[in-house]
Amino acid sequence: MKGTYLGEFEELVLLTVGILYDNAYGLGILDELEKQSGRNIMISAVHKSLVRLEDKGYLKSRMGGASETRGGREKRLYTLTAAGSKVLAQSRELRNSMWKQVPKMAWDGNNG
Amino acid sequence: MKMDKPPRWAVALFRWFCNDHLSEAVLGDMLELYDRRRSELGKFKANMLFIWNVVQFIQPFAIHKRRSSSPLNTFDMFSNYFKTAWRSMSRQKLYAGITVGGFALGLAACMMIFLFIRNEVSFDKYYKDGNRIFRLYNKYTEPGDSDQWANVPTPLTAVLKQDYPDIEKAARIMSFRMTNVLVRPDGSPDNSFENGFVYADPEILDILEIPMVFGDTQALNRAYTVVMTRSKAIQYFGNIDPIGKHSSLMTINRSLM
Repeated sequence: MKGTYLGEFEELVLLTVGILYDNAYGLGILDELEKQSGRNIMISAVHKSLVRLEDKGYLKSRMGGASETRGGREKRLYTLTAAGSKVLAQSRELRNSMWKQVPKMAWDGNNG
Repeated sequence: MKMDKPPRWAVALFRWFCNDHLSEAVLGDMLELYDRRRSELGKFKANMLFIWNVVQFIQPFAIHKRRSSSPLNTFDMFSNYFKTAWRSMSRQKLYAGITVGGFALGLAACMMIFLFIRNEVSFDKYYKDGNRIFRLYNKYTEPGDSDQWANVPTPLTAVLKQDYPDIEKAARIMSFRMTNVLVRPDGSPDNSFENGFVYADPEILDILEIPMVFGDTQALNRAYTVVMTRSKAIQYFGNIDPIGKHSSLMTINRSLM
């Protein structure tokens, strides 16, 4: 087990689940991610991350929302858990604090 | 409108390897995706991409059983059945032997009876009215001796028809292996030897439902007539259609020795 480490893609998936709130399922997450990031994403990658995030306790899932276009099959709907929200907040804080530590000169140097 | 479906084997493959936790939801996702692609890209591309998606899921995360998945385990169940059955049979060897042996004997008898009956009813399928055709024979028994044979007295058909109105038709056959004949078609200088020859009452053609290539089953009603097989007719007259003559059979009857 890799512990609680959150990968970059996993973080994006977690955020997308937050955005979609009540309708976060595999394909919906894929659509949203592609729209937001402009990347081309494989459906298997999304499900792989979802499974892993659920194992880590950041997501919980339930079945529901069957429809005709899905051949009458139900969706696995994901929602953030408390641990999930917490790990996102921690990640954001870490970035923020690190951002602040980058001296202004570094940005300027990059431009010049 | 009936929706197109992705290749059935790909769906079956996916269901086979994917664990229960994901199977339903992922398949739903892929069908939704398939539907979208089919209207955008066409059926062929959608099929290809569907198969590609299935292949992508062949990964440990989708295959391994999850703890939340259904705990049904039919393999262990059946192996347990076999094990307990074997143990209880080992404990009760005599009874198990009688049971299994008796069952095997019964099955074997069943199969033998089936084979016997199948053989019995396999004869004379050719005749449409086979169940109404009978052959008469003599049966002779006395203490210490018995015999049976198929020769009957010559007047029997007439007597039968007179005494038993239920009998629609009756015919005699006089067939002996030594009934050898010589055949000579008109215009031929040579006699030919034939030995598969029988004398018969005209009604035999009707009773045995002999299919006639030329002429009909009344062919033997006239005197001096003979009926022959198609191959014999070809041998004697060549591969010609004898329609136009009164009957091909008439032509040769005078040649009969």
